[in-house]
Amino acid sequence: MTIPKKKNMKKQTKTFQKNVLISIFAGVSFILFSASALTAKAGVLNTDPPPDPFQNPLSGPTTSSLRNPHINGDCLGCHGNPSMMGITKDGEEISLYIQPSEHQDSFHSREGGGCSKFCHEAQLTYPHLKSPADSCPICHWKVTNKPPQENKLIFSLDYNDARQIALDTNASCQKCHVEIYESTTDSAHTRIMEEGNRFAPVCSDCHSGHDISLVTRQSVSDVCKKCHLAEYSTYKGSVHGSALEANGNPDVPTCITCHGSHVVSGPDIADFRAATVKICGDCHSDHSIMDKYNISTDVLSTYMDDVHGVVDFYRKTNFPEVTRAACFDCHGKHNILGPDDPSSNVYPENLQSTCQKCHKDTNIRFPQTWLSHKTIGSGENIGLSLVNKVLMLFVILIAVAILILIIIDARRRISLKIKARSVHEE
Amino acid sequence: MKNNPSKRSKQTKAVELNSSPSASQLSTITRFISEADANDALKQIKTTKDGRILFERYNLVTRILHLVLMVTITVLAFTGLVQINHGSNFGQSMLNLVHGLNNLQEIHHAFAILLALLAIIHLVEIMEKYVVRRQHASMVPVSYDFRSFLQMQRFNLGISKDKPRFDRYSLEEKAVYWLAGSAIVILGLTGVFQWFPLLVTEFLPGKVVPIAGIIHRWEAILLMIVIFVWHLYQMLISRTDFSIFSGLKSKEEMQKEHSLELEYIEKAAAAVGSPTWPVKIELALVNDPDSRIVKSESTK
Repeated sequence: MTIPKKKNMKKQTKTFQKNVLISIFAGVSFILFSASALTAKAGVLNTDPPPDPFQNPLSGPTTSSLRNPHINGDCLGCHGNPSMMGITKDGEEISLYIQPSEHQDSFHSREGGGCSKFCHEAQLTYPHLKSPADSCPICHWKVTNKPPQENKLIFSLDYNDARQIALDTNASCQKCHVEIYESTTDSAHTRIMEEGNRFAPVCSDCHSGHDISLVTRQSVSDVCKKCHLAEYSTYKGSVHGSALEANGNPDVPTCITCHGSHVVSGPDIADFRAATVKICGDCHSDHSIMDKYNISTDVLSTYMDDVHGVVDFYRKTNFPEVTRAACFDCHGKHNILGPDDPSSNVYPENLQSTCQKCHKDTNIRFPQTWLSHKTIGSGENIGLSLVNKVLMLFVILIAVAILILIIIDARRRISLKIKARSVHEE
Repeated sequence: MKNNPSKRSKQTKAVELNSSPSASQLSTITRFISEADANDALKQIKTTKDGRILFERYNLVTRILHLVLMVTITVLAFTGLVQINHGSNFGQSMLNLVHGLNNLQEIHHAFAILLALLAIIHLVEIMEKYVVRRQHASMVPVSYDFRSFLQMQRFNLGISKDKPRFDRYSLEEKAVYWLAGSAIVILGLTGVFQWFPLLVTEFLPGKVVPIAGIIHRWEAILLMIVIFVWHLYQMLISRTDFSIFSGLKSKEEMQKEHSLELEYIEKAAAAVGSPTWPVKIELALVNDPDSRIVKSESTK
């Protein structure tokens, strides 16, 4: 509601008086409306019917709680009414009520977007495109003399179910968020959507609809666990998840650190398997992170040099060896724990069963063949270090001896040639 | 070179001769040869249609086996090097070429089996020749090899003007054989350890597998140095010797490079038909006409 400026007052005194009346009325009605909205909400919870705001809709808003819904763009005129319900073709009843604060506090509202400006363009006109023309009598029930039942104004919706509304509205995100929207086409979520799962998440499932927000480090697991509850509860118990939950540790990975945010992928995708070594390795070879926790940063290089990693997952090769063990094959996917934790996959006594995942007939000695990310030169591999040094010395000695013999032989041959040439020239 | 006959091995015997003014002494080596040795020596002497005499240094089977061995070692060395340097641009492009490391290892394993087969063929061959038929073993180093080796170094360094006579193989060639041969055996064993870790840990502690990996790597590097540096220098640069491919050498080449072997072949072939075996033959060791060849080379 805006109060007209003084210039307009002189020209349109009548209008001014009317506007003053309206604004006073509107102010009072807003207070009362808020009160009624609160009581209505409380009423739903307490199965107490809300006060009927439509006692005399045809003669205008006689009750103070009703705004004129036909002012263009005043969506909350109707959708601010908790009694607004919709019924889909499948008979699913959904609330069409939008709590005013929900959108007002959202990211979009701060950026200056109205309901129909970007997202609900289809609902720009009355009656809404998706609503049949016979929706008028639902409010104007005095015409047909059919009062609303249980104080609910139920509109027939041209949607099969509530999910279809979310899916149809989702396309409007790409009008502004072009790049992000297009990137999601590679996502595992989009793929399962294309495979026919309508409940695969779309934008609004993670960022919510009206109170749209950015997902933060702290809130990301709350978003993902809506569907992936089992994975979340495993993650929560892991060395990473527990640190995040306990004190919001900025170093540990959240869901999206590994799986990506808009291009979500998982271990069933070969590229993801190939990328995990980089995903884990980027942090685990970073001294600035690992030194705080006294964790070795040799894990990546030792892995790369050893039998599983020689494959070189993450460099330029176009043929990632998906059959080789990646980090998570031994350390677990969400249940990653330190090697000193008895329930960890890589706890010494659990190694045999961990190896058995791939090496079926693993015996008790087999895990020793793996050097546990220890470099050959490290203190725990003295035997190996010794063998390495002795052999290196042996090879160097022989190489030097060969070199000396070659030099002696070549020297004589070169001098013979020079002599022969000088004799020839003479 | 001052040769002290009292310090010689039992097989050699000093004989006083005064053929060459630069040589003070000339010794001989005594060799007892079997009938098979004599027959082999006779078989080595070939006469061409125009009457030239050629010596068949390697028979056809040996030549073919060497060709296979050559390819096998090259492929194994190459695929092994790619595995060591998998992270480099070169390694990556090679991995792309064979569609990944699994395929590369398949190639490595396939050629390792081939090399093992070659090694078994060779072992059977030498067992038959030297254990069953008790023929002369031309690859076993004898004390003369060490003396001729040292003499050759003196000659190369200009300390002595006497060039030693060379038998079928010099000490350096024998060193290539034994270093490469032992490396191949060790590489085979350590390769099996890495290929079948589950089987190995049934009997041995797990640490043997990474140790085998380290040994495999160093032995492979050693083998590559011995073959691709030393052996190729000996055969392609120091002297251009393609008899392993052609099998044949002319008498002049034999005289120049293997004068002791030439003498042996001629004397052994002459012994064919002897009523009693073994036949004792004596070969002159040092200060032979070969040194004159070198002198004529230098005055060309």
